Amino acid sequence: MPRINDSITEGQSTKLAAEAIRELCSVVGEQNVLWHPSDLMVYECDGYTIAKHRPDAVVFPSDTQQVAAVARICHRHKIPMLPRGAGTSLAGGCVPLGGGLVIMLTRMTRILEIDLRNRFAVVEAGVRNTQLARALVGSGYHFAPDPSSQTASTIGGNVATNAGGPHTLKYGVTVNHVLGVEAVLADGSIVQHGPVVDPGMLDLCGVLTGSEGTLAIVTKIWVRLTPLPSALRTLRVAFPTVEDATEAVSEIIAAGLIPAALELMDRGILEAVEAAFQFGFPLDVGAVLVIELDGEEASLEEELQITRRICERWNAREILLANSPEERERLWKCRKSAVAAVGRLSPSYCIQDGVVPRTKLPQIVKKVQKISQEFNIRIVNVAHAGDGNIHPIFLFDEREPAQVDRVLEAGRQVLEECIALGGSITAEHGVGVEKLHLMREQYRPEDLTAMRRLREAFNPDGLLTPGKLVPDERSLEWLGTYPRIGGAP
Amino acid sequence: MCEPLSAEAAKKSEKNERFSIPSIGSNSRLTVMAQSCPYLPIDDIVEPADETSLATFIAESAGKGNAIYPVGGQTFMALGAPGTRPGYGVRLDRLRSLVDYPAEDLTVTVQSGMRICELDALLRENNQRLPVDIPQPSRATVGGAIAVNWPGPRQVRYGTLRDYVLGMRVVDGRGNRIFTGARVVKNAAGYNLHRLYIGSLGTLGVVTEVTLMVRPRPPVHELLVFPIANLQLAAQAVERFFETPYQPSVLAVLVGRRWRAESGDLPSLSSSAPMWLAVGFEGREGEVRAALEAVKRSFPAEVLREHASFSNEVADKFAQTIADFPTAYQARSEGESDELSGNGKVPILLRADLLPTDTLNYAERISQLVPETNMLVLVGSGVVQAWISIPEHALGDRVDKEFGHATRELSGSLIVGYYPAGTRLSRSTIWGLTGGNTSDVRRLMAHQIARRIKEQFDPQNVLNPGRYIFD
Amino acid sequence: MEKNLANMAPEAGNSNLAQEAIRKWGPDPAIYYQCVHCGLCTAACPTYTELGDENESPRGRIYLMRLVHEGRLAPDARVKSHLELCLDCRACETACPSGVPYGRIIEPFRNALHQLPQKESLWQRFLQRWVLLGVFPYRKRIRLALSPVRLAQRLKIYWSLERLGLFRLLPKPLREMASLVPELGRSLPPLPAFLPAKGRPKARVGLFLGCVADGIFRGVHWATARVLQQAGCDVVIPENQVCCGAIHFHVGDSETARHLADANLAAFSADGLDAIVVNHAGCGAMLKEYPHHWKDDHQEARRQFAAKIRDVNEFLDCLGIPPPPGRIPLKATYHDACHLAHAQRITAAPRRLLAQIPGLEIRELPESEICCGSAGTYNLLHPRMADRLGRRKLENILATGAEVVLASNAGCLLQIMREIRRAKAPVVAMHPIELLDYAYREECPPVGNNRRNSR
Repeated sequence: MPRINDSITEGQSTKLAAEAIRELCSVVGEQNVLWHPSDLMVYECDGYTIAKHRPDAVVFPSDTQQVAAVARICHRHKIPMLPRGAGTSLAGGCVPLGGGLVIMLTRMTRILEIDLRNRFAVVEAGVRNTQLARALVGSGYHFAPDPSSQTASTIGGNVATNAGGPHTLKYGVTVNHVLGVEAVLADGSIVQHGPVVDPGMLDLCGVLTGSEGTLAIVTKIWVRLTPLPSALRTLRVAFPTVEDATEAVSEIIAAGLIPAALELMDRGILEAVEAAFQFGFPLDVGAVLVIELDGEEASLEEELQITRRICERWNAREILLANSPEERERLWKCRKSAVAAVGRLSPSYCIQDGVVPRTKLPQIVKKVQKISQEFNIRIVNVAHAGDGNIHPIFLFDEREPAQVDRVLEAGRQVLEECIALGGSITAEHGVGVEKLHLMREQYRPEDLTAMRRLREAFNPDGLLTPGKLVPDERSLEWLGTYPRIGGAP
Repeated sequence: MCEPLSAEAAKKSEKNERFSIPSIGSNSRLTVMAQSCPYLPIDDIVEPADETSLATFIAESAGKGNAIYPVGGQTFMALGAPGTRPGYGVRLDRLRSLVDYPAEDLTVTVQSGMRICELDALLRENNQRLPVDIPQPSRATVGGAIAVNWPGPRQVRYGTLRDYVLGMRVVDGRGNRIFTGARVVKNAAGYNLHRLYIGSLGTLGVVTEVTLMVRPRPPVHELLVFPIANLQLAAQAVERFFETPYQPSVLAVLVGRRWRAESGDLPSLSSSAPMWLAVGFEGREGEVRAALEAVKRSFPAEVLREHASFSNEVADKFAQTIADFPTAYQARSEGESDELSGNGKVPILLRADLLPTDTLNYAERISQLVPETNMLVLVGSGVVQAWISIPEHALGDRVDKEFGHATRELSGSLIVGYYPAGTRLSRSTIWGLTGGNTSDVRRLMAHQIARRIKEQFDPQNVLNPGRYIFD
Repeated sequence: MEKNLANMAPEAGNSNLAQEAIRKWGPDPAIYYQCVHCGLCTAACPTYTELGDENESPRGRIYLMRLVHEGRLAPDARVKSHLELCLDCRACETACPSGVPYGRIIEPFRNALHQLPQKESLWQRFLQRWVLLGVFPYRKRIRLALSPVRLAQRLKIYWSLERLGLFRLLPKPLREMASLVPELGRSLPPLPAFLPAKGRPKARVGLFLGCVADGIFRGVHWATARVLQQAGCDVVIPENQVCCGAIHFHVGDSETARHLADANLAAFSADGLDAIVVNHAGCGAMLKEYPHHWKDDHQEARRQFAAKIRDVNEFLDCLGIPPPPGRIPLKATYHDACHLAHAQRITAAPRRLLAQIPGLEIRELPESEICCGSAGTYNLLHPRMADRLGRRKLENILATGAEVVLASNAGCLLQIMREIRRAKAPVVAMHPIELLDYAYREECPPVGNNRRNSR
């Protein structure tokens, strides 16, 4: 380990006082503090590579007490801090605007308790979503939120962004599955809420979930365990137009069914998948729906028939039903390879995350197509059709600033349309850095003031994850008009 | 079906200087009705015509140092300590319209003065519902239900109001009008501020409009009620049923003679049993049948010997009877003597929140501490509600020490959901703030954060002062 | 954390040299940009799983290399340490949704860095020049170097010396190597040039002997030959074959590796073979990738050679084996060697073969796809990280309750056997082909009562 005393000099550039670094080393151990500039470069961005801001140091605490001690040090030295998990955020949630200390929770990976009878598990924030899933194999239970990042993302990260996934219409989002939380505040105090309901307390779990690290550093989570469904039926249906597909979705829901998954793919993404993987997919379709029904065997047949009839009424060209787990894998493959296909076709891509009332889905898809032509950027669409949650994927090359500019402007217009249609700028990815400036479009100043007041209650010194989620003057100063490539601002 | 609010003579009342609020009297946007309430230091209730006049009213009250006590259907007035500062009541009876109902989106937006029964009727037209049980739906308002967030039998399967509120419009204690959340089922932009207003008795803001997620109405509802001899049998049945893959929508143990009286016009429950186990299933015909079969296969023979079964509307009615348990005694006027009052004893409602596996043990403890209690044990979701009768002079002590202790041993929380007006009971006893776990620094820290949040949204402590966990 | 640093100041003067080397020897820069930075690879990476540091993840390492290429970062000692700590297990390739060929970035990049003047200690130079490159790749020299060890083990003084702690007197690099040496057992005779098929021959295959594989695990070669014969193969074992060159290549001596490759091409070419069977994953991966590493006029010959290379599991699964007559009533678990699962994408074939052994109960190994820490010669160069991963692997093995753990690679076997010895665990490690061989000979391997790893 390089010796600190020898090496903190003017060119070596850490903005943290040597004193602070020494204190951090004494809490977590020298080998668990990164402060040399070469070690910090990889922390300047996450899955959203357009915005890059390098931290001044990174620490790896191994338990809640260490996290609290680190927070106390930052509080004392007035160092901004930002908690980070696996860094899979697609919106820049892990980007430390204004530098400071990144607090890595990836060493806190213990599953502390699994109580099947009371249907909860206790995990440290660094436990990966599939790590928990593996621990529950064979138990008959699962942790319902399953964002596509689940192999790598941590539950702490899922809580920070209120992560979703393809099953949210039926099973809800992360906040519906958080029973209790232990968190460290910006001054190092430790707070706990839950797991048993306390009517004499405000819903702190509810506000901490989705707070993107701006209120507290969540270190432990009591998660709800949901029984696995007894049976499944999976269909893949090809429709001539997106409108047909979304009308079918509306009718399925009007018929009183809540499918476990309703995934929509438009022609653009289907072409991309075919180009990348050659599955032999028919390409004269306007949209494909992957529908999954789950529940009791006794009702599934009936629900399946209702679904088929509705799809047929809406001109379904092809309806494939899975008759075995292998066939189910195959039906899901085109959906699951969507992002992988795009990765093969383009040096960079940007996955947007807009949501509109479901009945407005055809409108937003049309708008996206129009924007794609106007800006000359290829945009393909995947959507969680049941929730009205659309993921337009923009293909570009990050090394060309002109393309980046067009992508940012096009993305902005898509989200503005989502707002205009009565939706939101983000359904599950979070605001991060990407959508900071759009918060002013979705919410009025009074609404943002209310959010700032909440943040003030938790984080009066403004040192925890400053400038994010709710934009303020510092955000704008750090961001400029748009986030830029190229290191510190 | 739904009763119109009893008409009261509206008259402007003379108030002394301290109370005079400019907007009252100066415009017809605020109606003032004389009404008193045993738990609130008010003489009048104000009914604003719209959100703007409500906001102005609150801002002016804050300026004068007055208090504002939001009231809804007044079904839970005894929940919370008496208000500490004189002021006005506020009722949103004039804000009760439907704002938007795109049924295919599974959302509905209503003003918070709407009665729950009105909301239900609306949703029924599209074969939808809000699957959360609210006590006294013909009186309770949407805003009131949110402020109280009381657990009902269907919670075990469908969750609470917190899982269905997507967004709301609120006027905070400064008179600021805020929109939080969204009108779509999934939203990650900003904080889930709306969560703070659920269950906090209106102390952070007055909710004027709510967007709720709704669900399809299940075609079939079958409810079975089994008379049982003791709680151990109930535990046995519940544990055995837990091994099966079926999810009940109602799973409750009903203890005490009161339940026979409560069932009213429903087929009466067996007269010799001290308690009953209620199990209900909702869904399609096929799965409900399968679940009932599973019950027959798993429950002990002693339990299966006898049962009453209710279907569909009747089952819904019975589920509502269970949901109404906390307000059961309010239907009677105060002071009327019944088995709970008299001999210096007062009736109170205890509510304990625990881990589901601890509920039946706890119920056993309660019945040992106070024989002849009437209880509702929501075994699936972990709530025990008990109407007990205790001499007034020992009340605070017994709640804190005996019942509170039993609850804290199980890491649960205990509150008082009803007490007769005038009974001496401290705010901290009512909300379970005293005793035990004072050494638990983390819970204390949570309270500190809650206080800071209150200071941010209602710095003058205008809203419901003294009623909830804040001073 | 493992750090091989002499100092940490950026080598400003050498930066241009470094950029030169990277331009000349390094990867095709276009591959850097195939990575879209999604981070899904981090879950599969053993060093990230242990350390949680983005610098020690595939995404982070690609980013570091890209930053160096873009001139935003000097390839200083810090950067080098992160790149060196990579096991090159390529589990990330399996996990990557965009199909980034990580091996084709890190291997040439590290190769480029190795061309630069290195700051090594005397012992590091000794280890590298004399032992790694001077002894390991030559099977005869290994056997010679090990004969005193064999003798000491026969005389039963070897393990006493180890228990007495005398090995700790050895210089560090030798200490690691010494600790990896297992119970060697009886010295077996070398394989002859040809072994005929049992019954009518269905195929004619070459058998690759490797270096350490023949030096320490000659029994596995004999077992492999016997099983191939059972399956109906004529087995050809060319005498003048040599080490696959992986050891040289991965420490940066690409030239010697190329010579070794060409020697193997010559040794195996004359014999009209249907396939060349390799029973150790590390060698198999290297042999299959010969066409990727050098660009000269032997490319076509290398392509044809590589096209014939088959891992023994892959080959037998495809050819089909006669049902083994013997029963092996043991509880077993199978460890996926990185260079078999990720570099060669072979996971189902070994499991299918094992499923045909009567009486064998196979239990799935948790975290099977995470490297055991051997990673070629990684455990000699980065012992601390290798130890962490070795212990993690052993914990997972013990959690299955298996009596025998099977691995299709010499490095993995050595690493796992060492962990078993250290923990005195009631498990035996062997190659899956050995188990098949026992089943054909209707014998039972000495497992359970006999605690020593048998050869």
